[in-house]
Amino acid sequence: MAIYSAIGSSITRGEGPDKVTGKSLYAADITLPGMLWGKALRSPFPHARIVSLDTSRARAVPGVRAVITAADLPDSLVGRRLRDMPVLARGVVRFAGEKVAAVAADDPAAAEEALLLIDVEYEELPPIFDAAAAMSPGAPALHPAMSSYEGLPQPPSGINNVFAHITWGQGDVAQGFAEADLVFEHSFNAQLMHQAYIEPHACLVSAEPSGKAQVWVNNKDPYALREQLAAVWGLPEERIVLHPCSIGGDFGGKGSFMDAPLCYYLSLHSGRPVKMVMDYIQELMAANPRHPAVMTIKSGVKRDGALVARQARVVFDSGAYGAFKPTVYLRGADHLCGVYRIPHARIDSYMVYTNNVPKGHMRSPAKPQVVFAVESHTDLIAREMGLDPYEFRRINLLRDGDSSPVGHQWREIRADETLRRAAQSAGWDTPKPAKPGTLTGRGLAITDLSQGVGRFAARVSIGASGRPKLHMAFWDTGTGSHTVLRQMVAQELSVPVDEVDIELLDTSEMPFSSGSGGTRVTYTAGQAVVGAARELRRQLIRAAAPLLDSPEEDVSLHSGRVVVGPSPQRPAYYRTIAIGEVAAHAPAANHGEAGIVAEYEFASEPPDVTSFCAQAAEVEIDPETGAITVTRFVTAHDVGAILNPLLHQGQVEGGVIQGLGYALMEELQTEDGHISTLSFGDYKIPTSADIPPLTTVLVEGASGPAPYRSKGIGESANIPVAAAIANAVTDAIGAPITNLPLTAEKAMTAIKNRESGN
Amino acid sequence: MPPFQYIEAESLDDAVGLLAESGAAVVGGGTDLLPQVRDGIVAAERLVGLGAVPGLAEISESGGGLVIGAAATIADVAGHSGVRRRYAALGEAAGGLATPQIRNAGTIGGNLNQRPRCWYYRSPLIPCLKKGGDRCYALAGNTRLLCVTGGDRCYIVHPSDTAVALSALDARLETAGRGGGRELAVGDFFAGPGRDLQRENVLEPGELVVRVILPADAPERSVYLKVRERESGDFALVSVAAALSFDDSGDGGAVIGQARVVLGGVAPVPYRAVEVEEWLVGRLASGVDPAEAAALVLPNATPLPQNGYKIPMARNIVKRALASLLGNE
Repeated sequence: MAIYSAIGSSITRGEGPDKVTGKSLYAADITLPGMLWGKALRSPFPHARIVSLDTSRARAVPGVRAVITAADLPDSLVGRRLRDMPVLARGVVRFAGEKVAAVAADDPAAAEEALLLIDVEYEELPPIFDAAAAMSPGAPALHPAMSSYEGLPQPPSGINNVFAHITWGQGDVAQGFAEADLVFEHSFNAQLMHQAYIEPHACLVSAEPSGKAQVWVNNKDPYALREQLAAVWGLPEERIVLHPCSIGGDFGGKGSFMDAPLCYYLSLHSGRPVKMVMDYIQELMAANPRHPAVMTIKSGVKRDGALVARQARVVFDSGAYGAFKPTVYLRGADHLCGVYRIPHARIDSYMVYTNNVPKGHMRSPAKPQVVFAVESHTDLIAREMGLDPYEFRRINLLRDGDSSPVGHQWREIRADETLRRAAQSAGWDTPKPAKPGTLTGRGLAITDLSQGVGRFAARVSIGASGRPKLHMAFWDTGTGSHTVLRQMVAQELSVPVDEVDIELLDTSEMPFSSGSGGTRVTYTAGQAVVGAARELRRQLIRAAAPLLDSPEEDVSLHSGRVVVGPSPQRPAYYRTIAIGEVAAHAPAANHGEAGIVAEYEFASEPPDVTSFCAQAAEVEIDPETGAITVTRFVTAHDVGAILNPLLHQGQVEGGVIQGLGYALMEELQTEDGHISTLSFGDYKIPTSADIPPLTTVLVEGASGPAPYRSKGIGESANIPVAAAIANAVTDAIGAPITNLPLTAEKAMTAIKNRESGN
Repeated sequence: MPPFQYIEAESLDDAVGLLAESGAAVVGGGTDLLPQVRDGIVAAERLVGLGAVPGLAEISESGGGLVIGAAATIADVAGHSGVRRRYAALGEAAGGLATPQIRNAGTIGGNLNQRPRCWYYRSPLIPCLKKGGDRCYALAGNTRLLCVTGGDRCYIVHPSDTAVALSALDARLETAGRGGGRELAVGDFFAGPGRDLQRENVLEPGELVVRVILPADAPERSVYLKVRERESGDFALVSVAAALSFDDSGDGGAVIGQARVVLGGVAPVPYRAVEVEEWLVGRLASGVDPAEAAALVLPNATPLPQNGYKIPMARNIVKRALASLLGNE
């Protein structure tokens, strides 16, 4: 049966059948005639001077068509905003895994063989692995030319190796601390984490004799990537075409250019299309993982529990380059003050160069780190003051009319209600379950997340078939965004969702659109798609009115037909016409076929609402092994209309599970700049056996900025998880663990220290 | 992935012949070997499968005990009623290792011959001592998951769960090789780096494990406990297999006859806590304080900088294992 009320229905993903039957084409699946395989040689040293590079033996390998080094490339740097990364290392390597040379060959084996025959002589340089140490005046400057880089958000701070020092705040912090009765300070560490998408980075580039470059790459932000490639390749943007690809998981990690800039030069030098596919060892060693962070928060509090002052500092280890960040710094660091009313606040965030792997974006960049810190700090203050953590939060939570500590003015602040519903569902006011021989604890955490902004161009057409088609250059990263956008078209044109098709265009065929990310899509892409669909509806009605012999204002759309109903003037009049038939009467519009086309571009503004997510965790700890088991988890969300309950819940559950991995087990372990955890046996992500019973609470009734008053849901569930679990662990043990992940071994140490009174 | 040839041996003699050539290796489910071939850690040009050798994938009764062919899958071992009834520690070890997919593909022979999980060994980039390199990189690096006893220039822990259980059950292994076969106790099969840095057992080149023999007189009560960082697909931080048999004390009570307490995750081989075993034997079961026994675990451990936590963890799970075996007495 056709479903006409598209919005609010649990529609399954349109691309799902193609994905599970192997029909979907990912970048690594695309093949062109004459295509070669590209491979890169990577530095074994975290910091070294390249004394010499000899490729002559590699060139002699049968089947090898090109071997390139920095000497073969223009002296041009690449970056998503800050252009500080060479395509191939030039004179110096700054992290273990940096690309120093590349080969294109007829088959992967020949390329691999050639890599082994490239002779590189390195002279090791003193490395810096600790971000705090890199900031000290005596540390070597890893980027002496930093001030000349394009894309710095501000002039260099003058602090050694710091390329972005960003501050937020309000009031006068010194005055705030002078007013405080009590002052608390705690420090926290968050680890290096990988996004763990299934599909590794892959690209195929064809540098054509015409001067055009055709690109297939699993990058979710094609127009931004086109700008980056144009800048580094020295080509006008219109000569670069990015083609649609399926993307096998993103979680923030698929926004970086990765091998695409290099792949072009291999194609240019070999005269053939070249494909590069990273393996998962390279992924874990040298992709663009989440930033580790060292955070210190100091708060001044009145005896009644009111926060009056906060000084917070976060140092992010960016690794060797800043090129993988679209904003250079991480905006999410502004969450270090939490969702509390603090009249005097200051946050200092530092982005620091080290000789570690360069970091990029991961689902809600910076927020899981800083919310772990600020929400742990919140609990520790409550504990030290003898207050209930829930009540202490309620004293300080933002309410309507408040300005956030970093100056946001939101309407409809539903922090208190969201926290209350989470606490209620978790049974906060009931005694903790007592299980002999185990330690049990409960913890709460809350954050906000506002929708990101961007631009989007959507085109909707309809031809004689009567099936509307949504045209765009926007790839679904696996979130189901295409399905939700189809639902919007279906709703506006009053047709079943399964009658709405998508045609993915390349970047030359549509104006700029922002890619997937930042909880932006439902809002920004949604408004553009709804705008185009509504324009199409207007045109349909305009075209249908004469066919129905009626004025436009009497004409409407129902169930795939244009309808004129009885009116006071014509009580017996009822006529309908199929929308395809209306389109068939229209002049040629789309590819020479008869039809109607509407296009709409939307540029979103920062919305005047945010959305809150409050979570509660219950844990059991085995004091003899330290094993931490999350026995129950509640996630409460401040939501508007829910466009697709199935996909909405998928984002919530996936977010919680990814947060659980961050909290309990996931860590790219590094030693002297080398990643040790080079497989999914060593880099542990949660399995289904690790997932606790999850209760989702939807605090409905908000009015969001996205179509139908909805809000995005892609990131929020993943943010407070580590904080909620850490607070439950602190409650169970009676002492905190302040560095993630919360392993059995750390729990044992914390229990032992508490018992011995340390 | 480097190219290799895969051959299914038709008989044991055929397998032994195929393995005689250099560059040949036995493969079971391939769950451990193939990633190592892919990453260039193990060079193998010819992989010899045993699944088609008659009888080698079977589990059968023999002389009151059980005989498990080397090509029997871990899932078959875990699900076998005789294993579960009489050799509980083995059933629990097999049923809880890795993931369902790996248990369905992996074999008992392969599990006993797994290579270490030490990530210095597993990294294609690190020329560690076990791979013929110049030194142990772990010693100056991350020692969290390494051994607390038995290290000698190399500090791996043996990764096999079933090896720990089989050692506690006093199982024996039958091998085949060019010089004929032999039978040896599981405890004599594994060997630490002091004997051979590059191997974890005493198999000669070309020799392979063909059967596991579970004795009829294995202790009747056994258990396997494992501490790990996630609930599936993970190796033990520390594990224990404990097995006890009981004799009549003459006055209605029970005296501990045989006692085997073997630890995983603490040493380069399954580690027998002989001090605990000796302390237990001959005691009235009702009078045993598991904590007192467990305090004797790892008396001479020499933990590395980051793995001292394994010692209290080991004592605590030995205590728990003994309590569970004695609790039902």
